[in-house]
Amino acid sequence: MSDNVLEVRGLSIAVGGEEGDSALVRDVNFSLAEGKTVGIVGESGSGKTLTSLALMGLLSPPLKVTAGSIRLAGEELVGAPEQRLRALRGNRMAMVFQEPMTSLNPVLSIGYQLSEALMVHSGCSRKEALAKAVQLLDRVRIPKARERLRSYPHELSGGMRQRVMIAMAMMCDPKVIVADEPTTALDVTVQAEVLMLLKDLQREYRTAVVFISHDLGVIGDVCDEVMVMYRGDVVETGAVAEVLQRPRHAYTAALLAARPAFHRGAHALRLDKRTRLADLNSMMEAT
Amino acid sequence: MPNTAAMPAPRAGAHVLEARNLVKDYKTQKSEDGSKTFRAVDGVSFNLARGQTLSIVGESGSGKSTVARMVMRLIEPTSGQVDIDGRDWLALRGSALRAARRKLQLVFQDPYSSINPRMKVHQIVSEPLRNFGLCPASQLKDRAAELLEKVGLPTAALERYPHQFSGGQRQRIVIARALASEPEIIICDEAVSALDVSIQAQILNLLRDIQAKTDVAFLFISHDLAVVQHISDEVLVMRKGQVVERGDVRSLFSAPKHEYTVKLLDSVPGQRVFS
Amino acid sequence: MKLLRTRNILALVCATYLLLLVLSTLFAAQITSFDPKAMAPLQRLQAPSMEHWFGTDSFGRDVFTRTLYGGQVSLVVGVAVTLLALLVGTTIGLVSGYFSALDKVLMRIMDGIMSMPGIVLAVALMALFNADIKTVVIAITIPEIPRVARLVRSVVLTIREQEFVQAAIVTGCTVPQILYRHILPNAAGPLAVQATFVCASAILLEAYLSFLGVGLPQETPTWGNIMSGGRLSVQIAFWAILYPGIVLALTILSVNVLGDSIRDLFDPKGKK
Repeated sequence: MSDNVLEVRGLSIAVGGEEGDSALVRDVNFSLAEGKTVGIVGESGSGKTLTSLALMGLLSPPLKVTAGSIRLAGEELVGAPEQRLRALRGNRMAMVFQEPMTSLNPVLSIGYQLSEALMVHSGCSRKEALAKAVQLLDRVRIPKARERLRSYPHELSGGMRQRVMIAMAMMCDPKVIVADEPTTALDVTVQAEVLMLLKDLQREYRTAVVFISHDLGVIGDVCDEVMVMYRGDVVETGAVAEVLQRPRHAYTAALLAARPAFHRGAHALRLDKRTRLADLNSMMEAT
Repeated sequence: MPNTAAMPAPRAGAHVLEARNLVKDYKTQKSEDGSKTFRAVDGVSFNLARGQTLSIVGESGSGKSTVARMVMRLIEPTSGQVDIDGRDWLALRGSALRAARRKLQLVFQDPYSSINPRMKVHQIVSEPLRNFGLCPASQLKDRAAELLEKVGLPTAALERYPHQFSGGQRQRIVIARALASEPEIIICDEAVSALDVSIQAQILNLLRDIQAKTDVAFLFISHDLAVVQHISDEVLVMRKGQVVERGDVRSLFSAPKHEYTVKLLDSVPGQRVFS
Repeated sequence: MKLLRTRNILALVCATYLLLLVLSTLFAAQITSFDPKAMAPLQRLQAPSMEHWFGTDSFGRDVFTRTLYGGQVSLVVGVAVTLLALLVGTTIGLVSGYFSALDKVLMRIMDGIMSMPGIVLAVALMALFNADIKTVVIAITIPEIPRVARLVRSVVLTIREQEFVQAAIVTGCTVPQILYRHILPNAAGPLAVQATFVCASAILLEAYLSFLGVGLPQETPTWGNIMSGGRLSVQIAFWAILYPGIVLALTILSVNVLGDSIRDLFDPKGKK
């Protein structure tokens, strides 16, 4: 238990001085061990993105953490000075964002952006950092890695850009990667490749991952444990197979029922077009 | 008033839309084989039957959105033929084209940019009625109220502005507008892709209900295979401008023939946990 | 809108000033009893006093009276030029932004007009025709048109790609309907702001023309030619230039401040 790479207890987020019920995120608890993935799933307004930003210390005022603790390898992050957080960001903890088009600086080369983080945090030279960058680009399966260092973001496809983002996150061997909808903007075949890549890297480097998504299928493929959030509260947590196959909370069940189910093989032959999807809002109002 | 004499009565049972060999070329500065054009759509053909849903599924660059826009004549095909109700659709121009547009409406992907933020909801929803001359000015608001009711929005919405509504509600406004001229075909271009899962479910149910009541045909463009499986009768799989496989939804999902279709189906997330 | 914020106080002050100005120019005959054109050589170049608030000019005319009557001309020119420039500029901008074939031609014409300094163009135009108020208005409008046209054109170019314009095409709108119903309302905000700047610029341009002596004839008071008349005697009678100058400067300043406030009002994101 004490070996957990990330421990979050009673995390609450609110605007300015608001307390209690009007908080945006209330009482989030979870532990993350080395090499494991925890998923946070919810719809818009659930608080999942705010939670991920809080983990990285990226909440911009007037939003702030009003209660709770976030411990990264035993070190408390809530209330830590910005200087310390900056030393940790990109170094011990890294983030991968959703939109590959805008999270890379369009006027700087890939090599420059990759090496920057390592140089800032470890003080090594540009040459050493670039060598590591090539290694990682290879590892994320970008062909012709050495030449790619000189490319600019707009010369790469969306999938390749997201791989570069993952490589960038891995540059300093972080203990935790927070990935906020990292594959949502990608084509489905590219998504499958990137998710597989993430799992491989995780196995190899023993990185822990906090994976935020609205897509229950992706969560099912990638995560070991999952937290379901609804309007700022965590309504259910548990092992991913348990939660997705035998949900205990009405919202989780409703969310699962609202997905159009995907069937292949013989099952696909028996589909009836007239089935209706569950109306989640009326289900929630009824409970 | 539209020139109804120019539009022949629909032949019962025939396809409401027939597209043959649609091609779209774009001029570019440079491309791989050195030529100066890029072929976004390369000979796509399909038929849409009354009251049925045909989905075109594909990834980015497949050309599926370009096909939709060509059918809508928001962009002009480089070559090809489109017949609506047996009549040559691409040959229409000017006011004849404008009048005939009432048969073919469009639901866009982004509910935030597809309605004019400075117009009130009743103006937005009744605009087709105004443009096509389908209703006297005094009755426009009543017809708008009826349309809102069909999509499950309250009459109080009539006097409000788009920014006062959520994404799902705005999409309902877009659907209400699409229904206004009682079209025979509605093209949905990634119409639910930008919505939360629960809202997506509501909108899909709504589209189903509308089809059951009005016999409208849907041309549904999407990248989401689960959604496609849920609402389609027939499916077209596109890749790099070409149709790689077509078939009715059940046989395509149970026994896909083309390796790209198999790859697409394999890539759908969640099969480990949900099968 | 918090009334006590500095910027808003300033805007209120300016708006009040302009209102007073407009009222006083309208009721000039009631406010002063002097005839702006009558010459009274015996009273020439008198310093400001209780009788002549701004003193008298080299012909003995009361400067305050002439300033008030001059205000009429300046404001009429300002408003007329603004309306005309808005009308013509908006039309050109709409057509140019929507039809790329016409765009190239129209924008080159606009570029041509913009490449000449406004005052030079205005002087040239004045030289061609009679020096009456109609000519002045037209001469000042022409250099102002390109600014408006370019602004409207850029709005059209942005809005044209929005999906609701495509929706308008799909729901059967004609091109004029699209331009008028969907595109133009989105230009209203920036246009309103631009209108105030055009107005300020027009008033100033008219003053330049009059000062140079190519505007309205000397006897018709305008702020420009009051100052022009006082130029020769400025060393002994500065009031003939100073006070009308102050009024001109305050007017331009107020119009510009109002323009800024309108721009803040129209900012949809309300960045304050």
